[in-house]
Amino acid sequence: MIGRIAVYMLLILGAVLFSVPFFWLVSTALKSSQEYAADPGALIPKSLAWDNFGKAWTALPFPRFVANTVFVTLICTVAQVVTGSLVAYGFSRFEFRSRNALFYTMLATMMLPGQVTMIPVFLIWRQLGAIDTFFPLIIPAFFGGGAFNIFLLRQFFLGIPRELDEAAMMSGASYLTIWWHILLPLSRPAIATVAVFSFLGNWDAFEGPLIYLNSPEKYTVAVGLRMFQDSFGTNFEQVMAASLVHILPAVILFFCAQRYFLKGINLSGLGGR
Amino acid sequence: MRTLCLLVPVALAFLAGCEPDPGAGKTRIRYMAWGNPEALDLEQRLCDEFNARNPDIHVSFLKVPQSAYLNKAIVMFASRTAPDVVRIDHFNFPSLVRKDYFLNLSPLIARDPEFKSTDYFPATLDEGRYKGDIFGMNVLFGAILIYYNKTMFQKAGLEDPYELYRKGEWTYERMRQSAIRLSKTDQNGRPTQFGLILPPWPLTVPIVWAFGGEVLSPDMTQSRLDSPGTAKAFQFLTDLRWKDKASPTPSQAANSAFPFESGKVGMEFNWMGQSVRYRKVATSFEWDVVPVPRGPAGNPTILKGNQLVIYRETRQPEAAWRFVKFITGDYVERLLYVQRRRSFPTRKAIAGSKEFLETKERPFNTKAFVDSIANGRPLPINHRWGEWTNASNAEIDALFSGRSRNAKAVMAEAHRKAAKVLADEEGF
Amino acid sequence: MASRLARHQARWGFAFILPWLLGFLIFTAGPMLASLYLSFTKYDLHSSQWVGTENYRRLFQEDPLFWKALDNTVRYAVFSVPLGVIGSLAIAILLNQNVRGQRLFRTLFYLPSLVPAVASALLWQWIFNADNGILNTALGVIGIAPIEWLQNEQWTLPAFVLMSLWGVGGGRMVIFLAGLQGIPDSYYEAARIDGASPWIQFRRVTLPMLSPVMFFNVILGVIGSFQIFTSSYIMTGGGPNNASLFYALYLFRNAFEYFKLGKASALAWVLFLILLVLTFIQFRMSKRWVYYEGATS
Repeated sequence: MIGRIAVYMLLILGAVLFSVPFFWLVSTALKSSQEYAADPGALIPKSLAWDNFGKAWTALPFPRFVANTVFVTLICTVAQVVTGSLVAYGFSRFEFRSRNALFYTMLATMMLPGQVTMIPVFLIWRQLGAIDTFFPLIIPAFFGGGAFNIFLLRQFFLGIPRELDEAAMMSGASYLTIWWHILLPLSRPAIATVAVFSFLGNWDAFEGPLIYLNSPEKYTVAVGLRMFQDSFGTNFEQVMAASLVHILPAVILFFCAQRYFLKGINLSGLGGR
Repeated sequence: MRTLCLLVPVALAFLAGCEPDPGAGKTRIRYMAWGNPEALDLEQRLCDEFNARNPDIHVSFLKVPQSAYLNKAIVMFASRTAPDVVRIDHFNFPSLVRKDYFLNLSPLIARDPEFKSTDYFPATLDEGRYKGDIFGMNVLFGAILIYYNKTMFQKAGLEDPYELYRKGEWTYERMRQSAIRLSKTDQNGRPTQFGLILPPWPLTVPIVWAFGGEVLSPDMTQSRLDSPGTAKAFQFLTDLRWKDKASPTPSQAANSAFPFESGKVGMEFNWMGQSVRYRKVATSFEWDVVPVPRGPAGNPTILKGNQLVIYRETRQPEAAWRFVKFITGDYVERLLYVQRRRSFPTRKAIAGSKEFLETKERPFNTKAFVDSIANGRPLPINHRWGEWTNASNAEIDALFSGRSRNAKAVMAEAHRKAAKVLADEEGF
Repeated sequence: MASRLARHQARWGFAFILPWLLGFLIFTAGPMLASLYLSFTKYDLHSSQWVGTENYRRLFQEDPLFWKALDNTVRYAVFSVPLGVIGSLAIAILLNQNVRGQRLFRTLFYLPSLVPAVASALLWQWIFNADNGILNTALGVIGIAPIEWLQNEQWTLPAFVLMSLWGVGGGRMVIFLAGLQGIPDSYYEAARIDGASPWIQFRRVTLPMLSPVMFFNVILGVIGSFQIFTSSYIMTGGGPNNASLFYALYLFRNAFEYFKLGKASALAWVLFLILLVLTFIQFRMSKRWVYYEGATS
């Protein structure tokens, strides 16, 4: 009983600590320019300047940006989850001579800061004629989707016992069947995690869209958000409003993705071990 | 599966682009510039106007967020995919021009009977020179002056700075006195009002010059941060903050607690271009402008513009040159600097025109604009600007954060660091 | 028979990782090697000149900013990684409890990680404001004098560590949560039947079963913390007096502001080697504490 009270108290305390700054963001988004200038630190705006959202939305063609971002993000997320889990399957369930060397090489790709490879990579895409298209943003997702996702899924797969695999193999299941019917369902929280991260990563991606997209009608939300900044003063309120709109789908997605995190969905086939 | 089938046609639609091609059959050029959404809209309007006047050319405008502009420009130039016409901040022009990214405009100028260099202020053309030839025309040109809160001065019973200027009495000492008088705290000792916001680098340079100091040698290869006038100027600023308490400390000024538009600040050093924004947000009080004050060595201010360049490997140099001439021509300058009052025209005729000098919008003291330009010196930006200023500013920061109150010692150290950077063999 | 099976599954294994390998060969390997080559040249986007190991020598012997940036970054990593991992584990455990409003709580804890970098920078500048920031106000309640967080050299690094902790309910926590979800209830039941206290259950069931993701979080925590960039770029520009000049920021400046691409590449490869060594050490040590249920070797 005391335990439960303690848990609730900690949760509430933590939730307040973590979300109060976020609510300042919301309140700033709702202040008018004059009110923000007068008292930037106020948590509760005196009047609700809903038109900040309107202004932010219409100052630039945000509906178009959102459409572009949704397009890129959806494709990338699906591709990253599928190819990432396939590659992780390979690294975790199989033995082949070059496995460890290749795995460490994959990890190593995360260790070189991206700034020094930015221009060479750009040159490769230029050779492929893909500048000012969505291809540089989408294609890499089909090649495993990044070391982060692969490494994460590999760790999860390694934590799943092999008995089920072996049982399935003895019944003649192919490797792909094992992947699809056994490993994936058992790693729902991990897959959900990768999907959420993938979605967020692509939704927020800025550098890629910035350098590969030239036509303004192809821009993504992250780029559009940045366009609010200028040397003649930043309209903080509108930046916050636009940021909020940008965050909203992510918050909703995260909230909904929770259902893959309910305890007890997994490993139902291994009761009594 | 069904969703995938849905995605494919959507994908094709996106990849192909949904709008009809407006540039079909015409000479196409691309133009890139930065700005906030309103400024970008304006640039788009200019492009549309140009397209209407020149039916054989189609300009498409690349809008890029300013904070990432240099990054994108560098990637484009380095990968040889740059647009035909690009606006380059003068902070970056000297370092980029020597990479052979820009087209030499002097031959184009020589061949062009319409173009007259004498139409332009020499300073604006000189900014775009490299090894004697012109590599960029000037846009968004301006100088530093002081914005002041007229209402605050009146309420405090202080004489209007512009009046002082007209009488020849607008000195740094007068400015300091006004700033002290205008700084107030409430009964708890918390500041409610400040006389002056301390200018950030490089807006401190006019003050350096006014006290007889220098920043770089005339050929811009050596640091002069150790000159006595420079130390005096920075001591003046340091004392203004810590002794006179007429200026907010960094933590007091953080989070835009005391921006000019809040009405809680008496004076601010800033670029001419800021007036566009202040017209919109500084509406609760009367404000105007005055040239920078006079010090022992005069009242020079800094001039700085931006370069409109043509990509060296452009396939349409003639069309690009026509566009550049348009942007720096009569119609556009009238629109930008007379109608919209963005900063200062580069054409002498416009700057001297009645429409420019008489205005119905703030700031009303347009003569302050004209005089500032006349009294201006170009900001000494060389091709290693970023590196040596980062090195020296890390030191100078000590004065403004309160770590040291001794400008002479700090400037000596800043000079040492800047000199080391400037002397280093290049490229390492 | 056994070796045919072994070869069969080896081929399949290789086939499965092929997508990654192809992507690596096409898009990553070339640029990485290009930057390695550049690190042995003097290159300013205009002309390049081979200089051998001169870039590296100058970094180690003649560049105090290199050491400063490295020092800042290492100190940041040393504090933010352990605190971050332990913190996110604690929060994940907290959020794994069956309470009402679990979804809401989890989302609230995760919110900070969703805030875009620019908005976050503004937010933190407000929090860290020496005069009326919420942090100093809260500290004032306990009687601590106001600290000039981002204006004082001594407090800048702690400020950044603190900022990193705000994201402690973020990605790492979610990964721990997923890991916690993956521990079968039957293990806990078995432990309880044997009479194990909650603490023993934690030590003998939770921690070992979590060790694969713990390992992941530590490795990525180290790699990530060494590459911290955006917050210092936006908030402090590396100051005051280079107190927040992190390695990645220094690299970025050399590449895109000073156009010293040879030096920037050298900086990148030095970081690469440091991370490689650190990761290698961690992998070695992992044999002792990381437990994989489904491993064969």
